[in-house]
Amino acid sequence: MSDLDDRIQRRLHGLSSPEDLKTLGALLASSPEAADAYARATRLEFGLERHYRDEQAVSSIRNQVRRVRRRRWMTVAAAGLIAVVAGVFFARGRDTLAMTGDVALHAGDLVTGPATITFPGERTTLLLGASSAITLGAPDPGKRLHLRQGSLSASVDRQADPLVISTPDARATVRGTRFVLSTEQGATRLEVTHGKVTLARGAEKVDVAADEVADTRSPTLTKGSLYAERFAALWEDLHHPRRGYFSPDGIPYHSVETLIVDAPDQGHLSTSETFSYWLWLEAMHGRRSGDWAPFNAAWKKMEGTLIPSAADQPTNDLYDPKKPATYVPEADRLNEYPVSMDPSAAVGVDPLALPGDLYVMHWLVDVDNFYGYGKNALVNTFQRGPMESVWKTIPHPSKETFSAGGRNGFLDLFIREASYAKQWRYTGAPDADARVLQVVAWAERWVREQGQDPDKVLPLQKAARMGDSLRYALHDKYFRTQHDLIAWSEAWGGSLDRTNGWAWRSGSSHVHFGYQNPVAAWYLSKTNADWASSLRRQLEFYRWLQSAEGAIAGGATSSVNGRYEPIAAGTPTFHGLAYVDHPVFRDPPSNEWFGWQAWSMGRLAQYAALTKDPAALAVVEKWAAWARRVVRLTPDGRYSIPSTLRWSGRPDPWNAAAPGPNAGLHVEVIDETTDVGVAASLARALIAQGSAESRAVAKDLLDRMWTLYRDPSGVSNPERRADYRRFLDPVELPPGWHGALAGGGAITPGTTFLDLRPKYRTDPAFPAVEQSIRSGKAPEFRYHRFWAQVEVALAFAELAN
Amino acid sequence: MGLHEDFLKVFLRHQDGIRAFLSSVVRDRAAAEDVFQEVSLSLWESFESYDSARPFGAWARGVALKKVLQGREKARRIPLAFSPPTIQAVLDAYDRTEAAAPDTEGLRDCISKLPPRSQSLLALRYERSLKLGEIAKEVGSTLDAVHKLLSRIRENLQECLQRRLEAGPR
Repeated sequence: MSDLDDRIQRRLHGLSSPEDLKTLGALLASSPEAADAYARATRLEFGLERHYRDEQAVSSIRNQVRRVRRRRWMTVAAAGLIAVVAGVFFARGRDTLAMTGDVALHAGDLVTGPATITFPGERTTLLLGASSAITLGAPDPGKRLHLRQGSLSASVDRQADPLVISTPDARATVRGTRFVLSTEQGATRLEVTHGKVTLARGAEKVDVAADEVADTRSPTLTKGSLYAERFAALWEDLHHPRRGYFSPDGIPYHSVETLIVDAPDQGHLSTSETFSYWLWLEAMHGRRSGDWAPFNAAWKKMEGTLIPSAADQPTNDLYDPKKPATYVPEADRLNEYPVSMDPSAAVGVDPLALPGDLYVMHWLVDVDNFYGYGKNALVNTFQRGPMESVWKTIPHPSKETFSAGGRNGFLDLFIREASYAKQWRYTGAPDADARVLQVVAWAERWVREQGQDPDKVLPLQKAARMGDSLRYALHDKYFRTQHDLIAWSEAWGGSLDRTNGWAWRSGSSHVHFGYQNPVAAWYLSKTNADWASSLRRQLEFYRWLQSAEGAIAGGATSSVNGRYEPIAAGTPTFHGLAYVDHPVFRDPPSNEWFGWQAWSMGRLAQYAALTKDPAALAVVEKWAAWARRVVRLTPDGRYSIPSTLRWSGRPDPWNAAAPGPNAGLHVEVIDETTDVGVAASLARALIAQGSAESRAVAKDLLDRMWTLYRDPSGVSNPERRADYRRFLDPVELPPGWHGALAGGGAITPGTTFLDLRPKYRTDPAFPAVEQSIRSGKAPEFRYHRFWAQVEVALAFAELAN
Repeated sequence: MGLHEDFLKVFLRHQDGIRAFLSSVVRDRAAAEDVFQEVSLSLWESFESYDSARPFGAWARGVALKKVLQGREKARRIPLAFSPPTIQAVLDAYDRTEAAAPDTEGLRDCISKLPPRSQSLLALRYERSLKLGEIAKEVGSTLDAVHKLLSRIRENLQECLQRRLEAGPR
């Protein structure tokens, strides 16, 4: 803490002497930065006081409970004209059977959800869903409840006398277990996750055990696999035309919702990530049903949408592997762009020299023509170094014909040249292509288990071609080294004109652990030595970056700051690469996101399970122990997982013969989330690790998610987006730069994120964003991201298997 | 909508900012609250002259500044923490940082993400309004340690609020 901060905090704590106040006053008067810090701190202080005052006022009235026979409402006016809140008062005196919040419940009481019901002297908890209602009955001799409508998620301690819950058409008898009971239109459904529950309808009776489901809608009472059914339900949702996951011509969107700003900056864009998850989904469907047609159709759609056709990468034959690209230094700040090419800088030789077209995906496609370059046009956004958050990007077409933008299209925003040529260029996000190949590895195994020939069922030749092209990601950006790790990108381009034509290719110098995929490397290593080296290197990389706690730190680079600067003294190295805590981007810092842990370690866990490689098993086991510790499963049936991580220290320099303990490299969780996608990724990683403890945590997490967040379209949690204030963020342009958008409209100095995406103004969700900007209150959304839905579906399938 | 409703609408939105400003420049909390009552009345009385094209928060703090400075000369003096130039500097800073004021949801969310131990310290300080020495006694620690812990918690909250403002999920 700085001296100024300490003085401010002392003032807030009432610890300042008159002398201290004088010094602080002088600091505030002389430095606007100091005064700003003081203003922020005192605003927060007041905000905290206000928060706790408000919390006290509303803490006792959260549950809405209605009494059948008598009720009395009272309104309480608090804090003068400021807040008006409502509460409920109850008569007391008879035996208390249960509680909801601070309110005692008696026989005959009706409780409406959402509510939590507990029982004195035991841990039994019932979570009543929204729009659900239950009546308490008198004990006989065990507890008696009647679920009138909706759903109830129950965790029941062992009962001396069975608890009986009746519904309009059935009766569940419980001795101690966890289950979800629901009733709709006179029918009853029972899902059991632990223990056993007996469900009866008239004279019919069935014992429903853990991971089983029974439903009274079938003519006879039968039961099935709970988790297989959940996978099937989500698969149906994802393919149902009314749910909106796919475009009319069958391309999966990033999300059902159009207004969403993630790395893709609109929901009806699609990405290579989305397609890779689609293939996962269809491979799992193939495994469960034996039907591989949807997998092959998805592959075909991926190829047609995101892998540029020969016509779209027309000048590859002019590529010279001895001069793969001209060096362009990366800049730290947005206002340093455009940057100048430096033809004098050394560039290595491309040892791959792949003839013809590359067969990998470009990362971003504009499915609904949001930007005006045509339906399904390949587009790009990120171009300007580590501080370019999505809010600062300038969308532009991958095929640059100067039809929009400025005089030189969008080229002179990024690179300064004497003259500009019309050109094509694509950027792959190699983790997505690697995920596709990971899926192929599993699909091949599953097809073989089904007694079929994978060569006849799956597009294995094409997969091999993708693996071949993906090797550019194993190289430094300008081929100065072959780092053998899966880097952040690979890119390729060329002139549109064949006269004086040219083409270029590049790898990437920056490596994030989150992109590694040992399953893909293992699969490809059987036919390709580069991938065999990559596999060994990736396994070492995870070990090198494993913190004292078990989480995996950022990554490394072969080009410090993207300018081949010397490695600073004391920086740990790994096969000549310099350690980087947050590779590639810093707004927000790239390795803060917990999702990387779940995604990447899920792959390492799968690899360890496939091969029993002891080095991988050790890293995964240590990581899983940490991951289990940081999952919070609270007694009220909710969960939270880490959202943001904070890192301190560095790894030990790499020594393959005797890897260091990394005693100085630490991680801490600084905030948490209920994000369904990442929670499902984490569950999958724990299922793949496979220990009984890991599986139990994964199962609990998924069951809770299903109870809390299942909705008619899939699974979604409420998400507050304070960052949407940045719709009005100005986007830095080079001085004097003017241009036009493809759909009309000028790009001028002071242009904002929103100005560059004018169609957002007519999005049905935009008024909510506008309103939130006016009121300062962050808007809340429930999103259905394609990848997240698939992740949840896969987690259930893997639990069922 | 009548003038009264108009006033209430903007006043309710900005009252925390006015209160926070006053307590940042007035030495003790009770005196700050007294000034706030006077300022509220003044704002209501002069609301007809308020130009709605100007930011209300800045206008209201201007009125508050006048009250505070006038109060120095009165018989029942307002105990100020700083000299008039410093108070003016703080006022300017409040205008500059208006957009970064913590919103209710954001704060609730950020508090809920703190470790349980931090949350209970905050509750002692703000819910039970304990002084630092009393908190130290309650948790079996020293005053200095509690000072440092609470400072660190506020720093984490500032970071969390800032992050919510700037960054979204992937």
